[in-house]
Amino acid sequence: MLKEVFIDHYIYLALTLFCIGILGVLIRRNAIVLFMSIELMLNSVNLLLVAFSSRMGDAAGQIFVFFIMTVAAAEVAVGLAIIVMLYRNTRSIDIGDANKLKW
Amino acid sequence: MPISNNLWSQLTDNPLMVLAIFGIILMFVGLIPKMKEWLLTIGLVGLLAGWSITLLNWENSLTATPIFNMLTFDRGAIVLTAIMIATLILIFLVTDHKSIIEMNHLGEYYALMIFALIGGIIMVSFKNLLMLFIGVEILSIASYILAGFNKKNLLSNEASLKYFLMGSFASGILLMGITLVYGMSGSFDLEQIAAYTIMYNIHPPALYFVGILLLLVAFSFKVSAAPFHFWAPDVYQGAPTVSTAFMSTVVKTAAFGAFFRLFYSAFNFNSTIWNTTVIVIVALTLIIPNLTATRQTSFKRILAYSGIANAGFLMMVLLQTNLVNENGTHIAQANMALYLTGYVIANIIAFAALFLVKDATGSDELESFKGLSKRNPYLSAFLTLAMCSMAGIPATAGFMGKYFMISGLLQGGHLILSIIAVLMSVVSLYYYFKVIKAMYMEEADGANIILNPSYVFLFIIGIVILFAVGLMPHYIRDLFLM
Repeated sequence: MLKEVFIDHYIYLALTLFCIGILGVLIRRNAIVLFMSIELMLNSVNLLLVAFSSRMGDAAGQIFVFFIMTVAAAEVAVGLAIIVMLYRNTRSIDIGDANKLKW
Repeated sequence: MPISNNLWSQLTDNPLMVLAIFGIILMFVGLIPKMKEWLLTIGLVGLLAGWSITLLNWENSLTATPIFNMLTFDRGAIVLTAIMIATLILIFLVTDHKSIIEMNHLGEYYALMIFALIGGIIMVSFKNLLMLFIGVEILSIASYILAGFNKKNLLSNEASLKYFLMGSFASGILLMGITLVYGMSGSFDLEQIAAYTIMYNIHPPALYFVGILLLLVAFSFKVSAAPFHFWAPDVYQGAPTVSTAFMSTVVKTAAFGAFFRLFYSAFNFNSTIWNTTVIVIVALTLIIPNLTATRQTSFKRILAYSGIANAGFLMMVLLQTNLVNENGTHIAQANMALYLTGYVIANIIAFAALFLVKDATGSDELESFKGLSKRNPYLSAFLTLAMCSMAGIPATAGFMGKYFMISGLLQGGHLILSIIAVLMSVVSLYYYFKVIKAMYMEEADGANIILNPSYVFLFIIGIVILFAVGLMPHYIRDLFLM
């Protein structure tokens, strides 16, 4: 339970960053910027995990952060490969141009 | 009990190790051009080995102990693992086709499917939220590549990009949900979260509630439930047909396994809080795709929408988490496994038929199915049976799956939702039968299609399972009970 005021600031900051990330994904059209927004979401999660973890004196949360960073790196590799593949075929990284599939 | 250091027991306690070894072997054998014909055989041997290990652990699964408090291969996990491995065996049989054997990077294609399967197995057997996250990512990252495997094809590129963006967006939401639940309950362990849930089941802290809601949204993305389904038709249509078959069967089974496991073991005690949200999502998932599918002209897209509609039926299992049978055993998981069996088998038959037709005519539109009964009567008969099962005609697996789901709903008192479900499965008859009409009532148009032995085997096994489940459902369902 939240007794101290202290942890609240971390929660506000992390949730704000998370919302900025979500807005970025929903609003921006450039694939790389979308990608950065998703990374922002992941990093806000990392921040919050570390804050919770150190507040509770439980190491599990910080270990989770290592896993998130590792997996995010793998995801970046695949994601950039997909964007490069698309760029080679269409010469564009605007997701508005990826509109061949629709009903 | 910690796992023993004995190598043999690490290999045979669960299929993860054997599958990983065969995945790596496939990747390296794929580098040798001369060995290309052997890839399929190696893959099938690996999967059969994994499947046998799973079945050998069937009896032990009732008394399974957690491995390092991270994974538990209990009955529910073993059932879904067996279904997923068997499904992948059938998908491998679909790849026994000239156009796939000649593909570049074939070794990686098989290896990625096996790696994704490993992610799926972790997802259905997790005991710690860390494992849930890792399983989801292993499965998703491999699936992004599978969706974009056709590098020169613009549609495949686009499908891959959309799948990637939506998938990692959902992963971000999933992580935020996990973090908030961790922050409130103080643990990633399912049992300790459940203990916390019991303690605060009336008035949970707001952030805990938000965390559960975010997890619900993230999983709705992953299983493509409305209103988070918009990516699914595009991705399913653009991806290569075999990858689509993989995504709509193995990936969906894994996602539902994890979805159910999380909400059943951790959040069941405050189910009144999230039940309303689930009811709304199920209703939307039944209505939107069924109505949209009636307007589609591409068979692949119809199958994508039918996959979303089936997700609606499968999500009903979350409303049955407190349901018990006369012996006091929880039946929700058995209902889900029965439904999934019928769904994946019918889906694979449909995708195999689509693959053959698309290979012969170059198009996945309904028009290319015209007069299929004259071009290959057996293929059209098999596809008709699969469509009947998906539509829920009695005596097939699809009917029994829907029957148990809806009767579970009625026992839980969700009358209006059951009425919506029945009405929407009547609507679904329309688009499933459009295919049958094209095959039997219209003039032949296009080349003849020849079935090779793998396909004949696949179709016959599939039909036998569909009717076995349809005719003796109670026997099959008792196998799945925990």
